Amino acid sequence: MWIFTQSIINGILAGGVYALIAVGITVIFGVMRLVNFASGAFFTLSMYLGYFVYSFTGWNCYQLIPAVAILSAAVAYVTFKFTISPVLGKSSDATILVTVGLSFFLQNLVIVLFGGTALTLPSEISNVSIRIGEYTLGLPRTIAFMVAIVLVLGVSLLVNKSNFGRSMRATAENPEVAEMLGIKSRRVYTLAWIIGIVMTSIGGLLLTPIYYVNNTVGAPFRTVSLMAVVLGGLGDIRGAFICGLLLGIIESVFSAYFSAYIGLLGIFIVYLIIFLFKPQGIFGRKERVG
Amino acid sequence: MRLLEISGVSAAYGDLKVLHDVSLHVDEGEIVSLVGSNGAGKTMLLRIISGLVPVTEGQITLGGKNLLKVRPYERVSVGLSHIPQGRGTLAKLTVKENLILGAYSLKSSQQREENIERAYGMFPKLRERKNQIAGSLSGGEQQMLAIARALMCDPKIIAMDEPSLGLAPIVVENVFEIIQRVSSERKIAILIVEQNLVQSLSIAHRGYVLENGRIVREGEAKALLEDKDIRSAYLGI
Ligand SMILES: Nc1ncnc2c1ncn2[C@@H]1O[C@H](COP(=O)(O)OP(=O)(O)OP(=O)(O)O)[C@@H](O)[C@H]1O
Ligand SMILES: [Mg+2]
Repeated sequence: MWIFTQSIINGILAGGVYALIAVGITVIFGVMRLVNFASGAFFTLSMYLGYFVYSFTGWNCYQLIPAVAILSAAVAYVTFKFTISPVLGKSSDATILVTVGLSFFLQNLVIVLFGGTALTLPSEISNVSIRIGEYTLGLPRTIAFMVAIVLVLGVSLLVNKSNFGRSMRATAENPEVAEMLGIKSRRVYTLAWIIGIVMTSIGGLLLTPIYYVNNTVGAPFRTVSLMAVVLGGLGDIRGAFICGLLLGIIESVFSAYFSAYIGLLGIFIVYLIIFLFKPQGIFGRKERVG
Repeated sequence: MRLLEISGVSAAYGDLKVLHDVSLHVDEGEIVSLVGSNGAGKTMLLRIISGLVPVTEGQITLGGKNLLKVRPYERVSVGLSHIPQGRGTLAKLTVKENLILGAYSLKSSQQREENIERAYGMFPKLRERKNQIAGSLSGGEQQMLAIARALMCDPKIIAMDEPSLGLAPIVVENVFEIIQRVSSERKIAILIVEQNLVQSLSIAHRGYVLENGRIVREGEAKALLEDKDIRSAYLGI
């Protein structure tokens, strides 16, 4: 029983970052019907950006959050302008190819800039954990989880309650009508892309205390988060969030009962089973958003 | 005073030429009805006015300003409101959110609040339903919402694409009454594009008949309504 509860706790904490990335992907998909296969590469890039700023300042991972958010927003802006924007509204094949291409480009760019050997961002709390009764919560994961929750809540508030969120939802539903009302759809797309990328990037940065920085570290995160997005019903923020946590739990339970290498496999198995019975996702309505 | 002036507009979808040398105008506060059957090019003309489709030839001015130089999302700021075919209400947003977005181009939030109150005053049904999603409204209510939203930006002119589409005859009558009232009370010009010839011409000052992308008749609405040729072509009498 201890193992089970402990692995659920671990899973929820780890799932927070999946949920964060999944919500980032969802914001982008919800507004412009574009699946961001480059999310893993941005996750990776953010760790390198963190390392880069650290090498001048010596800041720790949490002090680095604002700097990395700004730098990744800048990279997001540039990549949107030169890679995403030109293919928006074209065939979905084109948009898929562009984000996949962007992913390769960024993964190789970091090798060119930072070399091929894995880096570490030193952290004093790498091995610190909190004890609650007989259970342990790794401190870096706990903080990552809490930041993820705050960001997801913030973004859902933004989308559902703010003026900008309204214009996002209007553009998502009908870009032509949105333009008739005075909303510049390009601007909405750009900002949605930046928000999605920054969420993913902060997810990456928050895991630097417990992960080596190398150029493929983001790949499994991208895969799991994309699965959470699909299970969550494509375009549904709440669904993506819950499924992110759920996949974290599944991975952790499988790792606890079998071996750490089995965790991801467990996710794939569960994903395939759910997908077989509910192809529209757990939270997906038959009629999809948009 | 001339408000909207369309002169010599031609346009095409790819190789398909749809509009040929179309000229029409709408004066301030005037209701003008453009009638024509399926595929005549009515929707295309309105989409051109909103900047969603380019012209191959011709000029369009609104209040003396070259409209073709104004970006689509900026046209609402020069006084143009467009109710597209199918009403264009945002089904997943609430009634209130639709109204708020109608005033997106207004700078002052106080003005926005006032306009929402005015809309609720004009359409009490919308106040009752304000927190419901627009998709849950009936067709007639959605048309009311579309009109209310189009008024939110304090336009000089509203272009409406087939406001009668999909509505029961009694509701259509009601909608046209509202359009007429709004226009005369607030001095807003209306360009209605319709297949429903009798209803739309009976509230209009002037009318145009569009056939296969060409204006074939124009004149006082009354005269067009009484015209033998038009009656036999469009009403079969
Ligand atoms: N997106 C498009 N691509 C190609 N051709 C189009 C497109 N939209 C409309 N057309 C064609 O342009 C012509 C005019 O269409 P339009 O929609 O303007 O007609 P309409 O007068 O509004 O008809 P209706 O009363 O049925 O709405 C039609 O022949 C139509 O088939
Ligand atoms: Mg039409």
